[in-house]
Amino acid sequence: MTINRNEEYTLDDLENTILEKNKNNTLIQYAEKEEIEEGAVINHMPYNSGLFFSSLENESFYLKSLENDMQFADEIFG
Amino acid sequence: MKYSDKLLSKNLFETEEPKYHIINMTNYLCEFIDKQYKIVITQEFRKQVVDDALEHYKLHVEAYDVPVNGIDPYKFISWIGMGLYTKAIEKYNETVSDSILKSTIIVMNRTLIEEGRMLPKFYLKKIFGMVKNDHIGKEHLGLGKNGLYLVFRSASLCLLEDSKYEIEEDVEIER
Repeated sequence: MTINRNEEYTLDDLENTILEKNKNNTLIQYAEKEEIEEGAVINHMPYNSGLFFSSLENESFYLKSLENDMQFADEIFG
Repeated sequence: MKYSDKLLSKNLFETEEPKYHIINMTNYLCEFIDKQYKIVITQEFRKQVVDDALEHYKLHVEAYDVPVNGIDPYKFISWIGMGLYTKAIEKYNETVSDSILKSTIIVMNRTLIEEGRMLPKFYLKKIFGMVKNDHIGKEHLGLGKNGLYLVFRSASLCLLEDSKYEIEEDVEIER
């Protein structure tokens, strides 16, 4: 099994979207720690999930994760 | 004062990490669809759903006054997955759209597993059926794209007070 890179969404694609949204002033604001009120529920990438999605840069990890999820999908949906 | 009305110091994409998370989440979901169901999601299609999801993301955080310092994977995967799903309903057949919805649920569940949480398998199938209901004229029995993210997000936030407690597949649960 190999990863199909032909149709991948790229950093350039995202940068174009960011540029467009910046022009229209529709980018999501980032709240620094000191700007967040105590007790607020913060929108963030949980640490372990972040680690997982960052680790997909490693191709063998990527393929192994796909295999595991494909097996799990078979168990759930047949 | 709402966060959206405050003059915050920067936007989310002035930090690098969220960009790579968005790219990797998008490509992982699409690659899963390709490998599991032999359906190729084009780059153009990916761009459209990411644009739409980010637009919806902004509307959501403003409506609910949520401070943001990263991309919530449950929201993002749910909304790009539902973007692909609804476009597949319009352009292709039920087999294709069903495959995309199943893939979205599996990848959201993978994220949940990374957080050390798990939904019973039956509920993953039920979520599929409920989201599908929204699109086959049974909205009154549906879940919606916000409900889809909230199911997984809520599960990710649950803490077990007693470590002996486990959800078991064979336990009679409300269906």
